[in-house]
Amino acid sequence: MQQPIDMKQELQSVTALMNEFQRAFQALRNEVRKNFVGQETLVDDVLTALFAEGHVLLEGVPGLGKTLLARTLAASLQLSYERIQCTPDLMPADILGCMTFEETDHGAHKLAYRQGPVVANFVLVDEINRATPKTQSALLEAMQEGQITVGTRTIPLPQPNIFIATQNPVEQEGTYPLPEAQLDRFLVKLKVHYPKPQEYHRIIQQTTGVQEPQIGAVLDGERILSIRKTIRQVEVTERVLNYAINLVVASQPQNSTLDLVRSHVILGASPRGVQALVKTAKVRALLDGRTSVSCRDIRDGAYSALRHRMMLNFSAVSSKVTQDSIIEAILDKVPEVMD
Amino acid sequence: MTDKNLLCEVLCEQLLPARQRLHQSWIKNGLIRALNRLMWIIPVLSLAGFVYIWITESGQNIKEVLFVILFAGLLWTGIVCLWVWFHRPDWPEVACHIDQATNGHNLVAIAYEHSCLESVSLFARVAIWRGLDLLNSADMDRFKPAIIPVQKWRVACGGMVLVLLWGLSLWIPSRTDILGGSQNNRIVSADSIADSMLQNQPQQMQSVSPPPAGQPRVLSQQASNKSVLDEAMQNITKLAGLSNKSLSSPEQAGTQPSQATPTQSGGGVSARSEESSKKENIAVRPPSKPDKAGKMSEQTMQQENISNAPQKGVAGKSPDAESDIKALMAAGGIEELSEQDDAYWDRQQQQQNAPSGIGQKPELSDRQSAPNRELGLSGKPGDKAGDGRGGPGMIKKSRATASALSATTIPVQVKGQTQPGKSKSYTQSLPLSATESAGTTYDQAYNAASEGDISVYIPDSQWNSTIEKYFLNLRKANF
Repeated sequence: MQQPIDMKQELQSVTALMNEFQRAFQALRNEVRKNFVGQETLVDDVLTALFAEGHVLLEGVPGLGKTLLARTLAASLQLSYERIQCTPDLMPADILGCMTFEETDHGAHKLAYRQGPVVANFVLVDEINRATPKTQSALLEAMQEGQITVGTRTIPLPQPNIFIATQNPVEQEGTYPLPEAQLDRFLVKLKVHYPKPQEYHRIIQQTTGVQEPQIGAVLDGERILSIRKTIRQVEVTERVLNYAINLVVASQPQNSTLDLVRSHVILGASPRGVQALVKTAKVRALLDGRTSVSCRDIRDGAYSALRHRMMLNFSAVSSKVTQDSIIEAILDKVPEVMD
Repeated sequence: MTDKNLLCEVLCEQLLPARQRLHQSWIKNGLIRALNRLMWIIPVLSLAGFVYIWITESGQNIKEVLFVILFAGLLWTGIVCLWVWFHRPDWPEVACHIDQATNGHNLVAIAYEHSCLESVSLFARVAIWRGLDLLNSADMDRFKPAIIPVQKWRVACGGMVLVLLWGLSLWIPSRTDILGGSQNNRIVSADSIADSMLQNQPQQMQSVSPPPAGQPRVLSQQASNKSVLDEAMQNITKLAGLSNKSLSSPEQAGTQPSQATPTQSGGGVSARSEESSKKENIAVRPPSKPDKAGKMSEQTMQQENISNAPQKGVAGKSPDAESDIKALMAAGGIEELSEQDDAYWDRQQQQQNAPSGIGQKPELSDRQSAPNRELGLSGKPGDKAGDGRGGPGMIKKSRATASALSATTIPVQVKGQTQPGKSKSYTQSLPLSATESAGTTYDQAYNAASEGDISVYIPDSQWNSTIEKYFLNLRKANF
């Protein structure tokens, strides 16, 4: 009779953790939806990346509310928020900060570090592809390691640290496509689509009316970090992990058995792809009230986690094969149960 | 018993009914799958065996073949059933099937996998509880693994084909006339044909009507030469080297519809040679030319058909055959052949002796006009004469080159065909005269002597310098 008591206690404790996460997620979702109309899947994916310790790349044509979504999310979190508006003349020092010659109170002079906007919890990198590759590469260390190096000084970034970047896929003049190393550092790449016709009314009322929605901070950094710890405890069985690995391996032209991948993909997903799949799947499982990741969780996050990690060749572009169609083929061909 | 084993055991207990149900469904599916396959494999194999036996006349019993195929199919089905019976689904497979039937998140499979681990974390234990809870709450009676449907149309068609084949196998042996008819195509020996022809000889004698009186080449009856004729024709037949295979050829065996008569259908060449030798009033002559063919009477055609095979044997040109023919001619049994007929047989002989595909000459009588080479993109014939030279115009379009599109060639394909044709070549061998023989002997001796290592003359240094000076001076003088 000892076993049922343990089971009940364990279930209660885990349920409490799950409820905390689900309440936080729902509160954030509601707060964001006050200002950002529609696109429920997009909002959930952004919040999933937030709790999965990842950075988000939002891609969409102008006017769809990418920057609005990021600003609203920043306002919903009780975190330090900075915005970097990328332009072609933006320099790495403008992002990271630089050593300035300052005068002390006693009239002496010294070199002091003046921090850049990257040193914040929540960083919105707007129009990231308008910055030069030199400036873009200044974000590499910050996004992957959570720290920056200026001269001889290494500065850790405040945690939680979230980067949300936006880019316009249509406009190509005066832009610099993100290098693969930069793209790989984003946990997910989310596509912002046009809103549904019935959502236009609310969008117009909110943006052209007198009343503006009041966004309040519903989650602070401490709670986010504790939820992240809970999410890390979510289990992944060997079978499910094999499925995630097989998906990533199937996206690599050297190792894939799919003709579509071998003929159209130059660069496949890296181990970071598996990390992204598992991290987002853990959030999805916990959000669904499960303590172990299923294959369906992996599958649900495959598009957002893998689409920016595959580089296509000219043949794919000319035949209008996209990353999403290749991922669809991979999901179709790779079986869930692997013995 | 540890927690891990306990959890695993509890899970397995919960999964046991589902496992039994899944195993039963596997057996059913295995049987249905085997039936679906067998009901087209067995009829196809049976049909193939039936056709094979029918065509080749191998003498095997159709019923036995059908029985072997059916027995093999049933044996295979039994093996499949045994394999499925002993191959029970393992627990992860059962868990996956329950997950597919109840939820989309592998809850039971994950629970089973966690329960088999040595160390289980808090979240893993919760996952196991969740799986157990699902198994307890789920109505396992609703868990019905999918059963493959029986393909009724395939079973029906296959059954009908099998029944039909069985019926045919029972009916055919009783119908000896059908098999007898098919025996016409069997390869039989020349001796048996000859024996049968000898037995039917009186009928054939009656069936072949005497030649008309106006035929100048038909020989009159000469009873005194009968024995000579018999012997000569037998030799001709043997020396012609006609094998059983060639006898089976419908063309030579006289089984062509236009040539076959009721009495000739089973006959071979050797039989016919004996037959023709015994028929004294039948002429031996080559076939007429095509323009004369229309004028030939049916009776003459029959005579030609009978006499055709021995003449081809003569074309083999063995010395014995020639001597036999000469003996036959000397005995007055055969009329001497005309020059036209001789040329015709020479051509036939050359065509037979010529290697296939090599050195075949086109037959001039089959000559056609040259294809028109007035090339254009349309491919339609132009107004120039089809002499192969593109007409009298000044500018010729080169072959395989388009006139409208640059760097886009259009291959020109002129249809043609090689024909064996008819040709005649003469080889005249004359005895060498005495001087020619001597000259040839001398040449052979000279060639034999000059064979071997070639000696090269290398002058010494003085001569070398002298020769060099001479040529240098000569060169200076010239320039």
